[in-house]
Amino acid sequence: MAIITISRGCYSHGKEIAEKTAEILGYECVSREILIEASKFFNVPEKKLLKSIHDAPSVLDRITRGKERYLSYIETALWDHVRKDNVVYHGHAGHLLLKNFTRVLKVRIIAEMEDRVGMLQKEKGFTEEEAVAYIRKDDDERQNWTRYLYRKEVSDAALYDMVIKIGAFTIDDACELIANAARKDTFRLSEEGVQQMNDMAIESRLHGLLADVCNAEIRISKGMVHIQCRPQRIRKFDPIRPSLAHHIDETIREDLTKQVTEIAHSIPGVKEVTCDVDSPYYT
Amino acid sequence: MTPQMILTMIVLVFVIILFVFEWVRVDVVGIMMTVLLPLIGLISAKEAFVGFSSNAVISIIAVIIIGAGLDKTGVMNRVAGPIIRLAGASESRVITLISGTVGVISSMMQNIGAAALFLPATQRISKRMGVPISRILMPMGFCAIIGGTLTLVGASPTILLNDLMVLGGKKLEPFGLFTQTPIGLCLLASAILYFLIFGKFVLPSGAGEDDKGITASLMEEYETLENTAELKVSDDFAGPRRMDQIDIQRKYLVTVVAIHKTRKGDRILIPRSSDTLEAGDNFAVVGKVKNVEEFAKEYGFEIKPGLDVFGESLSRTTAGMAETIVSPRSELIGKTLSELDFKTLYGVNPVALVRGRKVFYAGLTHIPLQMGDTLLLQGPWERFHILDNRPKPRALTFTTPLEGEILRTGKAKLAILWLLVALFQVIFIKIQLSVALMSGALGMIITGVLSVDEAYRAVDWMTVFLLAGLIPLGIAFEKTGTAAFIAQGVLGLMGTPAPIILLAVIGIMTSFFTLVISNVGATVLLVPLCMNMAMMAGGDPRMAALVVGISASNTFVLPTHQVNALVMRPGGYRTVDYMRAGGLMTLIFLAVELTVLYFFYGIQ
Repeated sequence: MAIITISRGCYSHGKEIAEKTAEILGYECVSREILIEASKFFNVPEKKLLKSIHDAPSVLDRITRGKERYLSYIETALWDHVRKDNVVYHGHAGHLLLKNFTRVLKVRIIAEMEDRVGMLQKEKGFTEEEAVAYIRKDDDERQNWTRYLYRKEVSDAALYDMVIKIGAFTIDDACELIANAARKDTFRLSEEGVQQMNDMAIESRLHGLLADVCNAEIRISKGMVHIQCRPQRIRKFDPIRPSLAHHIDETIREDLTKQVTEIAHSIPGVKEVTCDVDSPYYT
Repeated sequence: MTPQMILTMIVLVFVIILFVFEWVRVDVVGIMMTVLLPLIGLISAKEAFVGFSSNAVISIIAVIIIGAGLDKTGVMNRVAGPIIRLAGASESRVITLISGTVGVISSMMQNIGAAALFLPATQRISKRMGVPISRILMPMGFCAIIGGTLTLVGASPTILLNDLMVLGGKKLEPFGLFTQTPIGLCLLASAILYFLIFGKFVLPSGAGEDDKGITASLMEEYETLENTAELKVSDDFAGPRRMDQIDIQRKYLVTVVAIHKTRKGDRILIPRSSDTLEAGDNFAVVGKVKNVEEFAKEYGFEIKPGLDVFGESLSRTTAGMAETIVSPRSELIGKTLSELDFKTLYGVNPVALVRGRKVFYAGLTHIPLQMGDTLLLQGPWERFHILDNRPKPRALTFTTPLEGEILRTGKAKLAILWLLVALFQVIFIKIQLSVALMSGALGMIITGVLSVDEAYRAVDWMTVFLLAGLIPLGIAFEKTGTAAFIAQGVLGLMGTPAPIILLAVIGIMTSFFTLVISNVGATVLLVPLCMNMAMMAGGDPRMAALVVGISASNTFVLPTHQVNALVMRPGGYRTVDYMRAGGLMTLIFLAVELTVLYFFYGIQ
């Protein structure tokens, strides 16, 4: 009766451990499904989503905040899964996507470099140098990614409930350890926990749906949603009479309020919506 | 390179950074220039403020006052009505007529004003015809932007041109009001054609948002008021019967808000209990759909599918609802509405009365009013504005915003006359643009089309300071020889292209700059530079300036453009729609502009 996220570098046995643990506990094991569902719901190619969650952000990403948008899509799909409870997620950054939710068992799997290199060489027929370069590059990408988006270091043990190094512990040992931990009451979902999870699922879905519409701050408690939209920026191109400008500002503000409220109401589980939108400002 | 040139370049880089990152508003950048440039000695103190007395600034003030005068007298509403009626037959006719009219209107008025004027009516038409609103609004918005290129005073960049066209210390021959009109007309026609042919492929077909406004929100709040419906009294109706005899308010909680007496051709917008209904009359009611249906069934009235006879007089822009509260010490306290003869006194229809948790929809006129009672009123916006302008303390306090404004329709002919006077001077007397336009504006003030205070309030100070502040920067750019220096450098890289190629490069460069920095900023920076380039390449510097001025309106891909922002949600557009439809429009704009220059302006 728990949610487990397994964070790992490439070729660190993470996938194997996740699958085995899920089997021991009889849980669902998800990874790529999340991307497929997010891609279907928000109508974005899966490739773009994968890129957003794997690659380090480009300069363009930093300007357009494209990564944040795709992440909120992925987070939405992830929430929809974990809401069902009894899930092992071993996709990217599960521990960070579900960061505000305490009742998740967050595990990090690490492995010795030689072990990883060996695995990669065996799988892809790389030379040792190539394999080391490949793993380093992948690790760096992920490091930059978390640094940019969450201001966190992947290697920071404080982010996880458990960090297991494969070496002294075998894969089976690791699965056993995780399964035992997951059985603890701490990770069992209470009614409050379910409510909190529902709220978070709504919040992430709303973030995803609003990404194209406005920049909004969302507060949510027991299905009651409050949305504070940042004022819309309008470029001044031609002269406009102040009274007309005021009328147009109000029209734009009202339209935005209506659109945001409608979007929020369209999400299942939302009971009440209040929405504050400031009048647009000119630059 | 002289030290002055280096200083100018530093200032230019600084300005571009400010424009791109928008740390301060564009007009503040303008004000900064009026202070910074004389302080570092690039221009004299006198030159720093020369922008305020420039042709551009005075023209823009005058144009905006003339526009306000036309608005205030409802001239534009009168144009809108027949156009909308004419258009309502097919999708392509709606697009052509509405977009074309908006384009032409915005050649002399603020672009966004024309778009805002037609927005509600367009939403109504699209709903009535079942055409997706997204197919009409973007063409209308784009044509409003293009309309600015029809005349020299249509958009800020072209207004600036005459003040910036100084080359080697000599002022070039200024452009006339209509020098650019052939280009503008072709651009407008090509935009309309583009949407007629490719509209289906580049525009989304999803429905946007309905035109709602404050009245619709109020009607949602009051659950018994669901809809405004128009009914026709059947020919076999035994009448005439007085409204109080029919008594629909008490029986069906439905309020009659307008009657059209077909025989006399009268339109009663504040119906009273003594007014009558007879065979052939049309009338409008507010109430729940179910109640209206029952009521219509009982009397054999026909419910029309939408507002027809009252389409204009009950449209969102003309009439609506407002919520008011009986103020403390109001003269209404303790009296009933019928005792007060409220409808005569106030000229609006009471629709509902809220006291505590109770809402009364019937028998309102017989309830003695108390302080704090909420009255929901319906009527023409103009009446509400008159009530709201009464000296304080008022008997009723408005709690919802009012739409529309008080129109001086009686002065409409005078407003048109003064516009014509201004245009006559421009075309036939060839007097300086600012003088001609200001005389039109002054005429409007003197003949009471609008008061001088209203004229002052109409001025857009942001644009005034932006233009006036950036003109000195243009002067410094040219005067210090920096423009010539950079032009030489650029031409050194490019070689000496044919004039039309050079103009194409200028057009592309301006279109790009106007997206990144503001249109006025792009004009101020590029006009001196491009004129120098044209001169060095043996082309006409005036044409280079014209290309910059017109290309600065090539801003279709930006959802943050004020016109695009206005139609974005009502049209249900997303940023990507502007990228797609606007991207193609940008290319067409450049192609058409250059083609017209090539064939009609003697550029080879």
